[in-house]
Amino acid sequence: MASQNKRIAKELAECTSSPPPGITVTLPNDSDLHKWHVTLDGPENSVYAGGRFGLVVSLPADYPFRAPTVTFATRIYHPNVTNDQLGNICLGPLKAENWKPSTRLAGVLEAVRALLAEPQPDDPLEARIADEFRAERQEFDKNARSYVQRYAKGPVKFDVAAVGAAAAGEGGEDKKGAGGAATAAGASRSGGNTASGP
Amino acid sequence: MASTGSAAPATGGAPDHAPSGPRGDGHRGRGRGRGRGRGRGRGRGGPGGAHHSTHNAPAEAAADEPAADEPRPPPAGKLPNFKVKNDTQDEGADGDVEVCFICANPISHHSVAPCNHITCHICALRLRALYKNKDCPHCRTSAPFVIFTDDGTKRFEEYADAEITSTDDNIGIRYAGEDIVGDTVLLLRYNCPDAECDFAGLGWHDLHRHVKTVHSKKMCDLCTRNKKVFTHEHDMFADKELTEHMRHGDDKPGAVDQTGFRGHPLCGFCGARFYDSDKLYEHCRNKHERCFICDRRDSRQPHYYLDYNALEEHFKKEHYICADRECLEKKFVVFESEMDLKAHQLSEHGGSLAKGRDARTVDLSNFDLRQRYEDRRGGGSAREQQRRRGPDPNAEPLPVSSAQPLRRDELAFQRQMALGASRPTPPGSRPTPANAAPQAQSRIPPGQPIIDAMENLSVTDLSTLTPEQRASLTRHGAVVERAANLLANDATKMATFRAHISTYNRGSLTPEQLIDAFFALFSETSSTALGTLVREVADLFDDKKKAEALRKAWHNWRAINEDYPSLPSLEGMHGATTSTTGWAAAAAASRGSSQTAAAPANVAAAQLRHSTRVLKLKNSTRRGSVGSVMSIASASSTTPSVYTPSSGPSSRPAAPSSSSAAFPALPGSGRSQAQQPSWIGGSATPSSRQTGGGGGGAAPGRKTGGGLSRNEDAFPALPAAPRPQTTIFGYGSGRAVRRDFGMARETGFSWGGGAGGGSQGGVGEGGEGEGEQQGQGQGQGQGGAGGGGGGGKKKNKKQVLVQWG
Repeated sequence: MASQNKRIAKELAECTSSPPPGITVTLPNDSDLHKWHVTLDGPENSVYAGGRFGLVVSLPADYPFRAPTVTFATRIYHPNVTNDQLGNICLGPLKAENWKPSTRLAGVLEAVRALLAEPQPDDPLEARIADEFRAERQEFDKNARSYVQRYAKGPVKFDVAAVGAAAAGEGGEDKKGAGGAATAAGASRSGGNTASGP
Repeated sequence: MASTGSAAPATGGAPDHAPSGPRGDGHRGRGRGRGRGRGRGRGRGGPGGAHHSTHNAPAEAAADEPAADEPRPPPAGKLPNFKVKNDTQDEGADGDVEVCFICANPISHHSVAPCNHITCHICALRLRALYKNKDCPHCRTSAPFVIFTDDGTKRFEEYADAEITSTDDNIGIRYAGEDIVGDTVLLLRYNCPDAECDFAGLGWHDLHRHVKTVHSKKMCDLCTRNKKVFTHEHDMFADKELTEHMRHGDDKPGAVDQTGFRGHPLCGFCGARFYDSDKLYEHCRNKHERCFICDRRDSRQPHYYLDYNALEEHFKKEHYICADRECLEKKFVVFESEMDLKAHQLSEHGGSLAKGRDARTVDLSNFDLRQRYEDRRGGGSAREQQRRRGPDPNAEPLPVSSAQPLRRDELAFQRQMALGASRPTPPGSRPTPANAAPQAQSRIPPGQPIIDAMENLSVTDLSTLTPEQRASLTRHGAVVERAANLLANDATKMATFRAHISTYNRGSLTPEQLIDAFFALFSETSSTALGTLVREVADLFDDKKKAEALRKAWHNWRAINEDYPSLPSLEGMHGATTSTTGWAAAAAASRGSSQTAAAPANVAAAQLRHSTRVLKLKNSTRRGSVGSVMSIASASSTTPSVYTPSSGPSSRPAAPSSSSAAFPALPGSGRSQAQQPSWIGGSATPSSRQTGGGGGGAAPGRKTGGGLSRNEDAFPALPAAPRPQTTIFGYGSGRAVRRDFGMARETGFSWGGGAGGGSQGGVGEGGEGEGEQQGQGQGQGQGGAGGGGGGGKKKNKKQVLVQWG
């Protein structure tokens, strides 16, 4: 709430006026500096080349003292990204225990892109895909490319992640109406857990 | 109007467009070769070029509202500018504007970490005091101490002890200058969020009360408990806004000040809201039950039920629960498929074949249970009876064969026992405190290590002592044990702990000081845990009065702070500013000119300075800057608040606000009475003391009744507040004043008068408030005297306001 807006504004200016290669940053809502939409071009010489991936960056109110959350809005076949609508990413610098207030978003986004170029199967979110990546690289490449063809072509849609989260929240409500809010929150929590998991 | 205030700067670094040319683009970091440069490079994670090429954008953004910022340069007189920030890099010769890497605000004081990384003192303080994180924000190197200094180029290790004027051991800050101390500790008080108000409360409750009575607003309780911001950075809400805040956060499409906050999540079962989803998760985990089968089926979200009964209903309906009584007792014996349930029933509850086995197991388990039952009973008299009857369990009143139907009772009993403290024993056998100790001698109950050990001790070593002495020893041991646990067995801290207690026992510490000392010592401990400890410590004192005083002091602290997060007190401070000189003195420390001020005018001026300083400081931590005083004042005047009509720049001199500002804002800061000389010397302090303790004259007057009710409500219960040294305004007159102000409250004009009275009392001219006030000449004194007619007073106030303006 306090002085952080200035920092965000500055970082945003940085990312828009001289973006890191392959990265475009836009604000979905001009007045909300805390939500960024990022378009990531799949790195050349990777299986994701040619794909355009949407990332949603949410900056907490007390950014930079707390880490932002970055999720893929576009489905992607990757050992370090959950293979669902949530698109949680396992990224070292974003983990609460590793976050430094001096880390800059441009750096974070570059790290995400580097993750596409070089998946980290030893620190996977999707163990199956990680195994495939290690053991049957051919198969992995094929799957990843087919995902790119299926999801990462054409204009990037950013609302997918949001829709996914909302669906998860509602899913809880059918059990017990009263527990809806609780389940929704729990959902986001469990999402967080997976993200920071192994 | 907080929203207006915060809205304005949201568009970006407001002050940034301030004129200042780009200088020496980007060379400073390199030129200095210091930590700051290093840190920046690393943190940015990108080429410096990107950084520099972008610096224009914020400046442009800021250009949108030039008027708003002009009148409000940051306190240190440094012109903030992004350009400059990026370009300050020439060797500090121009010396002015550096921007903190973390918050992108201009640095007014530098914080130098041992790794020589530099941030502004506000970010450092925020991290250390609010986030309780003492790592360097640049490189996460642990930094037990940082140095707050005005010299941005000197390395951490170059500071000699002599250059450090004050040290705060708690938050780990060494100050190279009392000016910085003032700027720092002022931020740690319970400052009012209103940008125009320099009130500082005694604690959260006090501040809440102030916001409610004076500004007719509320602060979000959840935010104040959980949000890690300085108190003045909290938002104030009207009732409706608060509901909105709770439900939807600041999710207003198109609004400028959105932070992505979507409201405090609601627990659908309890109807209670929690600060964030983490807190809600914690609550649900503790208070509600999850269906693990549904969770397994659909791992995307947890499936909660109100309590186990609801969950059991769900089990019965949706899953396959084992209907066996034992299994129902055990709970959670439920299966996903009928097959699993059958398997369970076969193996556990068996068919005809199993019955024989069942019979056998019954005997066996029965036997086990009986043993456990007796053990658990521990202190009960059943054991005594048994001893008398002889050791044969078969001689027990409960024959073995009848044990089976009793099992549930026993289970229930055991459960109750396990619940602990209030252990129910069969009627007639309840050990009274007197005979409890003797029993302890003869028995060694298993599974209660601590008490057990103590009791054994008493058996072996202290058998000659009376039961009372033994009991006291036991308690003593428990206290020491608890303290050692809380202090992580740190021997030096334990020694300090003992020293504190014995000092208190000798009478050289007041109970309040002892509590403060505990807070400093147990800085990592939750207040609840500390409360238990304090109560136990209180039990140790033979002197009932001392024990009572300590309990009372603790309750007072609780009354003020309850379970809000406590801001660090000055307890750990030593050097020129210490906990005994208090916040006010610290704040006033740098302004020598005001120290000797005796004439009312001077005092007023000094207090004006003080008040302005507080406001500036408050603003300095907000994003950008908070618009101009004018704009805010005009904005706030539209609200029904009583206070606002008279607010605005002209009203600021009404020093009374600083009188409260000078309160020892955090428990423990200003309590030592011995320091009076320094207090009187301080510009703002004396008045504070008298307003706070002596009586309602000044403080209430100033806040148009708000302060008053505070006095009325809180003070009787809060001896922790500074005690009246001289009763200038007795309580009686205070009450008279109150009636008076009750009227004035409607007019909103009582303010200046109270102010005058307050500040003059503050000069410390002794016992007669009346005389002094007359000395002031403008009839303001009537407010303090309490007798003045409403009308006349109003006039006077108007006059005053005009004059001030």
